[in-house]
Amino acid sequence: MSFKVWEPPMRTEAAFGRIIPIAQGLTPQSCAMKEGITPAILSANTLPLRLFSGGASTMWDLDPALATPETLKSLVKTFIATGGQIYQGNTTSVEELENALAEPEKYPNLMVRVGGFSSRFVALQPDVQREIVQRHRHSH
Amino acid sequence: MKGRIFQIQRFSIQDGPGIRTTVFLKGCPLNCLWCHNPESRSPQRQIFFTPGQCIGCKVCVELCSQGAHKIENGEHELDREACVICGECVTGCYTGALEVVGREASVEEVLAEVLKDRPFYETSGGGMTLSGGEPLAQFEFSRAILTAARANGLHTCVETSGFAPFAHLSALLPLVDLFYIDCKETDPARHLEFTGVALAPIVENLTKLDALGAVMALRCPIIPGLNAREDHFQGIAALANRLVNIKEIHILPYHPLGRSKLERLGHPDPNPDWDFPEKAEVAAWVETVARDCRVPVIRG
Repeated sequence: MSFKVWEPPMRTEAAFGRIIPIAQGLTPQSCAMKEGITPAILSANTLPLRLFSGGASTMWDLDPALATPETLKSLVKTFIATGGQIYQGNTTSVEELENALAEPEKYPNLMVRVGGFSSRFVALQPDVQREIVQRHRHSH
Repeated sequence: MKGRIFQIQRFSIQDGPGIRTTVFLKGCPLNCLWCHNPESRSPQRQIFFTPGQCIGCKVCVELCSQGAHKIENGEHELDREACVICGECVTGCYTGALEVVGREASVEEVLAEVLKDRPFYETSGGGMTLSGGEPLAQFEFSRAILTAARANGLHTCVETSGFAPFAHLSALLPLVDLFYIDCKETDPARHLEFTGVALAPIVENLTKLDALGAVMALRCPIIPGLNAREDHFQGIAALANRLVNIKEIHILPYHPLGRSKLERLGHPDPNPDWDFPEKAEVAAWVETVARDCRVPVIRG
């Protein structure tokens, strides 16, 4: 049996034919998440997620300095308690990803969560790499 | 009841246990040389201007009744003497180069915002923190917010310099689970020089709060060239050893992240050369304080 997790396309053609990366799954667009990860999670979970066949996927990238086990535990627990279904995330820093873009030969083993799967960062298409770098890293 | 705040920050994880919402109150009686929240000092509203975001559209020039904005040859000048901080220019600023810092907020409004993240407080042991600025400088407002938070069963924390009438601190005591109290300098003359206020009343307040059983952590900003001294480190440890209810010491290394805020306020940077201390240096500070101290010392 296979499940289809609902995911929109990675890119969209905006007005004037400009191609812009868009957020993964039901994750809010990064520029919309101005108040941190907690309002973004509560907001995404106000949608009627039960209507999504196979589950609704979300990505929550955190600054590595914030990603303590206690904090992650609380985020995931509340995510589930408020109706969330699929929680995925990265705790790599933007700096590390940019280094990997500049010198891919030095980062053969850097794994990232893309959407419904994980991959070696340097093996991804440039579009997808760019999208991961641009994701909002919730931090203070 | 209304007070003046400049930010309500959700997902705060450095202002007390768990995931918290921190309410920043505007206005502070101290004038610390290293202040990293320069917009928190004045109790008045202020204008933030970020030149890099200005596109020279001149809408602010048209909206300003005081003639405080001038844009010539792509250079935007804000005459802060002429500005009356009415905020009209901000309403027309397309890029957000102009912002008003500080607003009046009611207790109900603050609490409604704080309660939004209650599902996260419950899973993390978090709650609400009052910070600033100096929350005690708006004592009635702080008391009202804390009373309301308590009525809703929230864990409460107050970050304070300790520079306030003791009657105010003791009135908050039944409403506060945890005090984060600054220990900026333990030498009296230097304390006056670095912060603009006397040390003695703060130490007296700490001692009295301790006797009443207030649960406290000492927050110690350490600034190379000012208070990164052996005698100050010993002073911190001695204070924590003398007071039985201090549970932790937090060493807070200097950071220059408030610099951009000074620019946006149009204030000159008094310390343009100051920088982040090295990691090893910070570790040595922590170790020095911990050496003679009965409570845990952590890098905060």
